[in-house]
Formats: sequence, C-alpha cells, structure tokens
Amino acid sequence: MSDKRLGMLIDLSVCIGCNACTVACRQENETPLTKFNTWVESWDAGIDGRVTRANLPKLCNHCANPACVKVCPTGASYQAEDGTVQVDPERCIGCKYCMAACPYQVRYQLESGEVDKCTFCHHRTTEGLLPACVSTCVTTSRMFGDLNDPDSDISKKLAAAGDKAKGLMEDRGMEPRVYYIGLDETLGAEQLSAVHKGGNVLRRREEGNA
Amino acid sequence: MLDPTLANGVITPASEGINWVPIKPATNGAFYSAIAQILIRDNTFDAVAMACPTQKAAEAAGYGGYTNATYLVITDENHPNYRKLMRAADAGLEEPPADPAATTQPTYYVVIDAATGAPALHTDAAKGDLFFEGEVNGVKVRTGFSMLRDSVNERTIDEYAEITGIPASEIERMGKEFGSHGYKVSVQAAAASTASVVGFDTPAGRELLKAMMGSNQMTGGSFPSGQSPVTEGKGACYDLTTIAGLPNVSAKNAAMISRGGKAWEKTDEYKNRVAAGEKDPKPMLPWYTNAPQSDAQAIMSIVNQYPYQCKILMTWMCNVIQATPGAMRDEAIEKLKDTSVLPLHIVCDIVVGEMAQYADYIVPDVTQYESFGLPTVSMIGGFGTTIRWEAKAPETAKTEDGRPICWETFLIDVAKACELPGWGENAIPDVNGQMHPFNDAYDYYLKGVANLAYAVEPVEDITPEEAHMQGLDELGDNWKKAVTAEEWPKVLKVLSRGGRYWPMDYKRGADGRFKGLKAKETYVYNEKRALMTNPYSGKRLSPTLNYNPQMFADLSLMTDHYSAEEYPFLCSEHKPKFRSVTMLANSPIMRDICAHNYMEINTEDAAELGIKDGDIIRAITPRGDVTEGEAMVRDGQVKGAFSIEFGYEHLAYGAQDVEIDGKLVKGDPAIAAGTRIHMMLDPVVAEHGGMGIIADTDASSPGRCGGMFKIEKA
Ligand code: SF4
Ligand code: SF4
Repeated sequence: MSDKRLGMLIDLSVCIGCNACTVACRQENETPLTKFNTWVESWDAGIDGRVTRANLPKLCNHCANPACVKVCPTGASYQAEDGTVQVDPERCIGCKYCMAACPYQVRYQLESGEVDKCTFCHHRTTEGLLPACVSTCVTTSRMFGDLNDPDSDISKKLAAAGDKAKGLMEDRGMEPRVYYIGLDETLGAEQLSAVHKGGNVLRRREEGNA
Repeated sequence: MLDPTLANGVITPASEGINWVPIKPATNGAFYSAIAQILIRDNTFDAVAMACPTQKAAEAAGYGGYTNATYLVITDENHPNYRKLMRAADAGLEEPPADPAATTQPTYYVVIDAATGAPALHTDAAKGDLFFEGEVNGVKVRTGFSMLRDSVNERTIDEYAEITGIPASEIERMGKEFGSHGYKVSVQAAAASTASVVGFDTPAGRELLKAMMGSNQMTGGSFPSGQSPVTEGKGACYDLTTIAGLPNVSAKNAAMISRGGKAWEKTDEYKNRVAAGEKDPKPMLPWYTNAPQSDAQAIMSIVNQYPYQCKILMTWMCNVIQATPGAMRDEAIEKLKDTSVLPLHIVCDIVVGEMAQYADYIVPDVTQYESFGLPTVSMIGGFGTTIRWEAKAPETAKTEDGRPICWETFLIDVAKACELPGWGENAIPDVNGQMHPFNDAYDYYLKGVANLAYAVEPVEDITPEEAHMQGLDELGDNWKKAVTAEEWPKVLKVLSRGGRYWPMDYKRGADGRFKGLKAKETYVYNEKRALMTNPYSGKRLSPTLNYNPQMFADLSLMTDHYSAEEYPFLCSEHKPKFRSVTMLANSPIMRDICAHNYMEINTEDAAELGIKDGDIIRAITPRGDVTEGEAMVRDGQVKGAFSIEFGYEHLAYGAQDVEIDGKLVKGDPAIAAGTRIHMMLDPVVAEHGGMGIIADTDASSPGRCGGMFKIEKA
C-alpha cells in the first residue's frame, strides 16, 4: 500500500440538495438508468421547533474495513493502493455476496451481471482530477483528498471539525472514509415528510427514516 | 427566509443562523406593512435617511439614497392636482431659472424644511419634515410619510399575523431585529412566490424597508449588484445600440399588444367609443397604466385578438403558453392554431415544446455551447460580465454561405430581406464613427467582447502559448473579421477567461458606499399609482404601502365573488430542481432522478382533509379548473396553501402522439408526468367578453400564486 488514503468530507450544513453531484456522476460514469453511484436523500427535518430540509448525499464509503471485500469469493472486490475500494469486472462472477454484506446499499448489479458502485472516480483521481461530484458541487459541500496528508484541505477541515465529523453507521465497524459534518443533527432531527432520493419517494413518511 | 414552501436552500438541520418562516402566498404586502408599522411604532427606522429629499442631501448626510417621504401630497379632493405631489407652482414658490442647455427640466416638489419649518423646494432643503399635515398656500397637504404611517396601521400586528400565517411574536421579533442593525440590513425578494395578483406589494414593500433603514448603496446594506462595463451598448470600442434610421415606435405613438404603459382612457379605442356616443366604455381585456411589457398578457391579447390582431408572432426559446398560469387550456390553444386568429407564427427553439407545437414554422436554434451571450448576472456581487461563446461548432444545418442556422442567422437574413436599418453592411458604428457590417453572430457578439476587453483598463493580449492550449488559435477568419487585428488578441484573452470581472473592492468607495453612487430614489408615496384608475371600476389603489387582499381585474375582492369557506386554499409555485420552467422533461436522466412533481400540502391541512402522503388529490378552483397530483404531506409547507414545482405536466414536447407525413410517431407519456397549477381565469374579464388570466393590476404579470382552491382526495 502507498501511504495515500483517499476520503471525502461532506459538510451537511451547506448541502442544498441540488443533486448537481448526482447528475455529474451519471454523466461522468454513465451509470445505467435507475442505478446511482451517488445520490442525495432529502426530507423535512424538525429540530428545536424549527422546520428544516435535510439533505444527505450518499455513495460508497470506501471503507477501511470493508465487508464487501471480505466476502468476495474471487477477489474482484479489492482495496486499491490509494485505499479506495474497487471492483474488477473481469473477476466479478455476479454472486452478489458483496451487495448483501455492504450495510450501506451502495452496490448494484449491471445487466451484464457484474456488480458496480462508486469508484471515487478512480479514472479521474489517478490523473490528478477531483471526483466529478466534488468538482461540480455548487456550495463546496463535498471535499476530497488524502486523509493521510495533514496538509490536505480535507485533513485540515476534518481536524477543525473534530468529533463533529462522522461516518454513517460507524457502529457497523466498516470504518467508512466518507465523513459528514452535521450528521448527528441531520439524523437526530424529527422526520416531517417522506424521504426523497433525488425527487423520487424512497420511503413514505410513515415508514420513517433509516 | 420567508417562503410558502421550504424549497431549495441552505436551511438544513446542521446550518446555523437561518430559519424558514412559512408565509401564505399573496400576503407579502401584509408582512412588509407589519414590519414598517413596527419600525415606525418603535421609532427604530432611520428618520434622517428617510427625510433627505434629494440625492445630494442624502450623500451629504452619509447615505447612498433618498426618498420622497417628506414631499407634500395634495389631499384636497377639490384641488385639480388632488393626489399629486405638490409642485412649486401649487405652493406659490418660485422655481430656479431653467437651464437652457438641459434637454429636460427638473420637477420641483415641495417639502417643509425641517430647519425653518417653512415650505421649500425639495432641492433647497437638507432635510424635510416627515410628519407635516396642514395647509400650504391655502392647499390642504400632508407628507407621504404621514400617509404611509396610516396605511401600514390599517391593521394590527395580530391581523397581519392572521393574514400571513406568521405568528405575531415572530413578526415582532423580525421587526425588532430588522430595526437593530442600522443601515446594515437588506431585503431580497423575487421569483415565483412573490408573483400574485397583488404582486406589486412585494417590490414596493422591499424597497420601502430598505429605504427606511437608509441601507441603499451602503456597504454591508443594500449594496448594488449586477454592474458591468458597457458591452452591448455604447462601449469602449463599438456602439452596439445606436441604429441609424430606427423607426420611431414607442408607447407614445403605438400600443403594446400586452396593453401596458397606457391608461385605458388614453387609448384610441376609448376615445373612438366615446366619440361614437358610448358612455363609460369598458375594454375587453384590462389596460395597465404603469405596466412594462408582458409576454403573458401578449399571448392573451393574441388569442383574444384584442386590442388588435397579431398578424405575425415570432418567439425565441420560450414557451409562453406553458409558462403563463391558466393560459395552457384548450380554448386558448385552439385560437393559437387558428390561422384566421394568428396568421403566421414562427418559433425558434432547440426543442419542440408547447409553443412550437402550434407554430407554422420552426427555426432550429443552437444550444448554449454553440452560441454567444454576454449576461451580467444580477445575483453576482462583482463588477463584470460573463461571456458565453461558441465552444463547439453548431450542429444545425448551414446556409449556402456556411453560417449555422440559428436565431441570429434567421434575424439577420429576414431583416436584410426586409431592408431594415441596422443590419448588413454599414450597420455597426465604432467609437470613431466608422461603420462595420453585421452579417453574422460573430459580427455582433465579438464586438461586445471587444468592448469588455477594452473597458476601464484594456486587458493584456493573450499569449500564443495560452491561445494554443485552449485551441483559440484555431478560430477562423469568420471570427477574426469581426474585430480589428489589434483587438483580436485581447478578445481572445477575455474568451479564454469566460468573461471579465473586477474584484468586489472595485465597487466599494472608501467612504463605505457604492463607488458608482447614482441617484437612488425610493417612493414612499407612489404618485404614478396614486393617479392610476382601474379601467373597469375607476377605483384606485393605495399610493403608500398597505395590504391588498387578492382582487380581480376591477379591483373587486376575489372573496366577494367566491366563498372563502368553500375555497379556503391558496397555491404557490417554486423552482424545480429537475426541470426548468418548460424544458428538461425530455431528459431521461432528469426523469430518472425525478419522475414527477407533487402537490405539497401541510401536515395539519392534510390530516384535516384525511389526506395521506402519496394520495392522489385534487385542487379545484371556483371556476372548475382542476389540478390533480400526488400529495406530498410535509411540515415544510405553509398551512392554508399547496405548492408545486413548475415545469411538469406537458401536453406536447414529445409527450403526445404525432402524425408526421402520414406516419404515427408515438409520444412518451413519461414526459407528461406530474402536475401544473390550473389557475382560474378572471371572471370579471369574462363578463366583458375576454379570456383573461388573473393578473397583477399594476404590473400585469400573471397571478402565479394565490388564487382560491378547495382540495379533496381524487
Ligand atoms: S460502503 Fe459498502 S461497498 Fe463501499 S466499501 Fe463500504 S462496505 Fe464496501
Ligand atoms: S452538488 Fe453539493 S450541494 Fe448539491 S446536492 Fe451534491 S453535495 Fe449537496
């Protein structure tokens, strides 16, 4: 392994749920219709008597301790040099073990059988570019870089945020490397509408928020 | 952030210092009146700023703008100038001698000079008396400010709370906060949720509150945005606005088809009908004394063939019929299709939307990557302009001489064929008076870019390396010929940067004001509105800010026509994330991310109506118009109104089956998905034989929000 460890930081206080990232990703990665490498979940959220709109972008967390890699029988799912989790389509047999093992439900099966997901835009980052979602983000809510480099923008912002920056479902032990600022406030708020994925209903209001 | 709907923006559980305050649509006048009332009651408004009667006085007092709050208004009903601002002659004051060199002479208003307590020309006083009521030269007068104090006190804070749906305590809190930061406050208000039949109250209230705190043109206050050096006018290199031999057509010698800018009594029709013996004639569609142009009113005029027939309609990249609430209905569409109503209809667009569907000819246009534009974006604080330029060769067909078919090419060739001035050879003057041709889009836009490149301080030439890196050295002679060889490398420099902006500080004066300080007057008393009479009822609206309930074209209250108990709901529209006003339903990506919009309804309202999230519901107007869609039950919607994202429920645009040369082409119903507000037409206009949208009686813009609805499960 190189000493690089790529990660993402999403500041939920300024994410406006515009979904520009969703669209940029779709165009960059040409994911098939109905499949998303990243998306944004939005809902009305009550906090201290105020009504706010929660926006929660989701994608593969490129976990440091990923279940998907552990369960993969062929080694198709693997951790790359830069710490990102990748899928080698040549070796993927479409058994979907990884899909079952990933608690974040960020993987999907292509019509051709292989499983796919967000690559952190591996083809771009290896050329010195940012992932498409990050470079398009209109409020710079999304930040990306080397977590092992204390001088990177992301490391500095993470350090400043302290324990305000958290990963999703950290209790599952995957050690996610997508961090969020404001996650506790967002998930702790009272849910006051259906949850939308983009503009489509993901969960009806009475189903609650996962 | 006051809005009927918690729509798109940074009001998240994790953001601090910003709250959403739900407000009922079409009640902004009540909210602004309430805040003004609090500022006056608590004496927290800036009385010095409000009392400066001229820009000169305001600047001397450290401000960036002035108001007419202290100007005297003639309140004697029997005076010939009743409701007008008092002029020097009315007060028996002498005007300074006219400047023989000036083309227009200033108007001299009258104030009570705060220093002397005596009547004075507004130009002679450093400060006027805000509160004067009495007689001047035997004429009964009072200040606009004293009238404002009355009009914003027409209702109590509790009544304003009831009207707006904002708790009185919250209104009080906002009023206190607004009055507690000196001039470092501002109000922003625009877009769909402010557009209603009483929409005029929104800009009127916004401007009043800014002026009451003396915040205009102040750093940290209401600092002006959206300035740029001249690009498409008389610029540093070329004059893109002067056209020799331009026909003299204006509202003075012609009538806008949208019926704006002219009082009904001033129209030829009115005069002719009176001359023919008619007493008190009424128009088929309303006239709007002070309204600017309006595409929505124009389309209604066209389908009504009133005030005159539109023989040729040409539209570019717009879908007026879909964008006008209440207009996209069978009766209107039938008229658009009827060549005896509209003989020739040409549309230029990149898609075939509803407007193009009913056109006789469609001229293909080019996309934003294939065309030019020099937009100055008003929301951007800096000084400068963005350049959109032909980054890729257009893919439309070409003319014989190789120009891409697009709006500009079409206009140029038609104008040349009609021998209109300002096109073809010797069309565009440069600063030295030399004439240049206008034969293609480059001839025009690149001259605008040159104006920008040479503005203030000319930019440096682009280096050959950079031009090469960006592929700008491949641009052909058709580009280069539009400017001089000297200008060309500077034009490229600006293109390479996508525009030109100066740092924010460029606009800030050392004294804490806008450097480009221009006279900025705020009407506390709106004389134009004071003198405007309604064409149907002769009624008048308040010249100072107040709350107006929703009205129809004759200023009768909507609730006098229809039962508020039976139709208790209002509506509003807001910006969609996944569509535009009329486009993007053709994008499979957008449809994948969002299949359709919703009828957004407040949780408590839904519970009362037995509506659950996901139910199909209907909103019905008293005139039977039905809006049907899927309910989104949410707390992020004000009580008493439903809301939708606009841009959905297409009739055409690929949604429908079409027969082309005898072959059926199937439509895609997914393009039609979702709902749009089916707004009622104006029943008063109907009484006069017209098909008219409900509209703002000042600005003539459509009543996009508000209305009257009952809601039920489908
Ligand atoms: S989010 Fe799921 S797919 Fe991505 S690395 Fe973690 S476990 Fe694997
Ligand atoms: S682009 Fe940025 S602001 Fe917009 S939804 Fe994505 S993360 Fe949020």
